[in-house]
Parts: sequence; structure tokens; C-alpha cells
Amino acid sequence: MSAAETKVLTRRIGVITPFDLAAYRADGGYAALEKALSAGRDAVTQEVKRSGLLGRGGAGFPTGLKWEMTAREGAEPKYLLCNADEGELGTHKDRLLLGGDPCRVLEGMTIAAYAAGAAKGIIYFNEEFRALAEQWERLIRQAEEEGLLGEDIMGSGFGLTVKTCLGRGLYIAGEEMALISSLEGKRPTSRPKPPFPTQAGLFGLPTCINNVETLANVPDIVWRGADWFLSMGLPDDPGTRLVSLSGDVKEQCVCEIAVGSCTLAEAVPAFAGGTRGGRPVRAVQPGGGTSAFLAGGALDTPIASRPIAEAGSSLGTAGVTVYEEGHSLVDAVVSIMEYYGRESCGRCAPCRIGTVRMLEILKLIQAGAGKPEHLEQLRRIGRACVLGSTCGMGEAFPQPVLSALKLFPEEFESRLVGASRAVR
Amino acid sequence: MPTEPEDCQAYQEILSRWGPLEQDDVFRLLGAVQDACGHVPRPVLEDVSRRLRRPLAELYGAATAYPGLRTAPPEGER
Repeated sequence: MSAAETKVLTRRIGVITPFDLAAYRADGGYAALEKALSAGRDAVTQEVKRSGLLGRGGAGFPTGLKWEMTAREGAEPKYLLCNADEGELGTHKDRLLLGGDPCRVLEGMTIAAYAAGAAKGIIYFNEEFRALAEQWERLIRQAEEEGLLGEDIMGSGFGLTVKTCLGRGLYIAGEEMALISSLEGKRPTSRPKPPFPTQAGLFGLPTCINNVETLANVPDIVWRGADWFLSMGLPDDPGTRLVSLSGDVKEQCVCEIAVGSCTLAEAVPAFAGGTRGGRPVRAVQPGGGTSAFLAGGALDTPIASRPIAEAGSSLGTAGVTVYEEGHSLVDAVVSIMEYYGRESCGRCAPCRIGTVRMLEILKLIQAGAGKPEHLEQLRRIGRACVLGSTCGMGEAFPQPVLSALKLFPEEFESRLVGASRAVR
Repeated sequence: MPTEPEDCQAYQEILSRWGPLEQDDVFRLLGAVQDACGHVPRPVLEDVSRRLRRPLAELYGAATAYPGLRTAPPEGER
């Protein structure tokens, strides 16, 4: 396999002026919305379902199906939320799209709202995207003036209002149920599902929540058709993925590849200039800070959801963090757990208590004061959190610790009380 | 520190700029007040509670949940 980019979502970035509707329309923008509005809601949903587009926010739910589930609910008005609260460690792709080709995201959001039957749209930005959110506010006003948002879009009778909302620095607010409670003006916490947001979301109304990258895929699928989309990537996971590469790399970057077209090991030299110190890759986290480490032969896994799940991790947001030889994974999991311990919303006990206890034990081990029984305690607490937590964060945050213990037990053992430090 | 919502000039300006408040504006509004005033004063929470018929406790829960929102000015500015 050779590692090369397939530029679809990123093809306009750096080529046309962002936040310029005229430039976007001159480059074919909004042709897809026009086509969608004349084809009708069901035709658009069926085409996106047939394209096999899976959500790019981490969970990989089929996008067209989510629209259909929202549309068939009776309650009105319906909401279309664009989740731009990108906060997963090592993930920078949505920011690139929001700033580099914002009109594409807005057009995708408009088509999604049309298909899902939503009259209200909200885009929820990460607090760090404050400057972008202000530019988006102006873009939305301009789109309203040009009849691309508001009542009777392009003379079709379909109306959509879009509001922007800036997050306030809370990781959990990016989790879909917490995002809903945040927008409801409540303390943001996850809650058990079902009911799913499509059934009872924001203020109990049918709510479709799509990630930025998911929505960015929509205009091209509508314009070029499902067959074109299916010609890229894998049959069960088509299209492209934006892969963020960071950690021990020479150049942090976001690259766009056809799904499964290169392996984790190939991506590091091809897109990120290799490892920072020039040493071999020791391990990677392929899907953000809560994904399990992969190492050894698993580094030859193609970048696609199913192969990476089969290798024991998850592709999640495709935020690949690289750890080169010499990088202590005990230190790495301590800093990862510090982050998730701070960000646990506290709603359910396994996550609220588990993050604190696991971090305590890891810090003992890091300080050379750990005992052999601590390793088993870490495993037991981690497994309990995976089984007993309410939301995806609680299920996922123990994964880095559990996988590091499995892949590199000798590093943990070498740091216990009385152990020789020869093995690192 | 303002004691009545009418004293929070920035809040009044936001209200008049935004037009009628909707339920899905609560979080955006708290953020806008934070940006304009440096914190979200209690009288603002009380006024939002009255306007949108929302429990004050719920709004207080929201205003105290985020690193980026505060209900009092920073130490030293009080």
C-alpha cells in the first residue's frame, strides 16, 4: 500500500477564500442544496443511506438512517445540531473544516436539516474556536441575506434558522446527551439512552446531532451521487477520513485519506515527517485520548474502523497520537488520566470515582511507590468503569490504561517498589 | 456589583439585540453575559428564570458547571 492523500473534503482548503459565499458558489457550492431541494426529502435521505456514510464524530452511526429516524418522529419543531465541540485529545480535523471550508459545512448542515425535517439548527463550537464562531455568525447572516438560510430557502418553501453557540471549556459537553443538556441551559451531564436524541432530544423534541466532518461529506454525496462515494474507501466504510496526526511526530498535521488506504505505520512518515526523535514508533492511540494503544504488528492495521476495532482499539475521531521508543507509557497514561479525571461530569459513580482512583494508583506507580497488587486493582477498576458507566466517555477512558498494562506490563512492573529500573 | 437586572447594561443590550428569548437561548445568553461583564451576575440569572419560567437552581447549576462561566467577578475585582 502506498500512502497518498485523497482530497475531497479538503480540496478547497487553501484554494478558495473561506467565509466567502460568492467564491464558494463560483466553485460549485450550493449546487447540491439546489439539487436536494428539487429531489425531495426522501430521495436525499435514500441517496445518503445508500452511500453508506457513517458518522465521523466517533460512534460511526449511519448518517442517512439518523436523518430518517428524526424525520419520522411526529413532534415539531425538530432540531439539527452540528457538534463542533471538538475536544478529543489529538483531534484537530473539525477545526480545519470550520475554518478552511465553512460554507461546505453550512451547506451540508442545511441539506441534513432538510432531510431530517428540522427547522432549527444550532452549531455548538468548542470554546477554543471563539474567533471562528464569530466568523460563522457573519457567514450565517450573509447566507440569510442570500436566501440560503431563513424562510423559504432558494424558493423551495423549506425554512431553517441557524444559531451559533460557543462552548465554555467542558469536554463532556461534546458528548451528545451532555450537549443537549448544555443547550437546555442545564448542568451538562450525560444520561442513559434510550430514548435517543432522534426520539426525545433538545427540550424533548426530535433532534439529529451530526459531527462537522459528517456534514461536510453531505454536499458531494448529494451532488455526485452515492456510487461516486462508494468508489472510495472500503465497501462497508466508504469515503475518506480526516486523520489528525500528533504526539511524537515531526509535523502535526491533518491529512485526508480514502478509508483504509494506508496503515498507521505508513501514515507517520508519509504525512507527519516521521517521528520527532527519529526513533521507531513504540505505540499509537488511533482514535483520540480514550482509545486503546496499539503496538507491534498492530501498527500495520489499515486506518479504518473495523480493522482497528479488530486489532483491539477504536478509530473514534481518527485522532492518531504517536508515541516513539523511549516515551514512557506510564507517564503517558498519567497525563491522559489527569485530563479525563478533570473532565468527568460526575453523574455516574464508576467514572466519577474510577478516574480519581486510577489516577491515584498510577501516580504511585509513576513515583516508584506502586506495589504488584496495584496493577490488578487498575485492571479491576478499569473493567468496572467500562461495564458500569452511562456514556461513551466512562466506557472509554480506562482503555489506554488497560491496553498499556496488556501491551507493556514490563514497564509498569519495572516501576514498582523494589523493582530494577533496567527495563524501561 | 449590580443588584437589579436593569443595572446590567450589557445584559439589557444583549436582550434588545437578540429580540424575544427562546428556551434554546439560555446557554448562549449566559455565555454572552459572561463575555460582556466578565461574570454572570445573580440578578441576570433571576431575570432569565422569570422570563423563561425556569428554576433558578437549574440556571445556577449551568452557570457554575463550566470553567468558562463564573457567577462572581474574579478575586481582586470585587
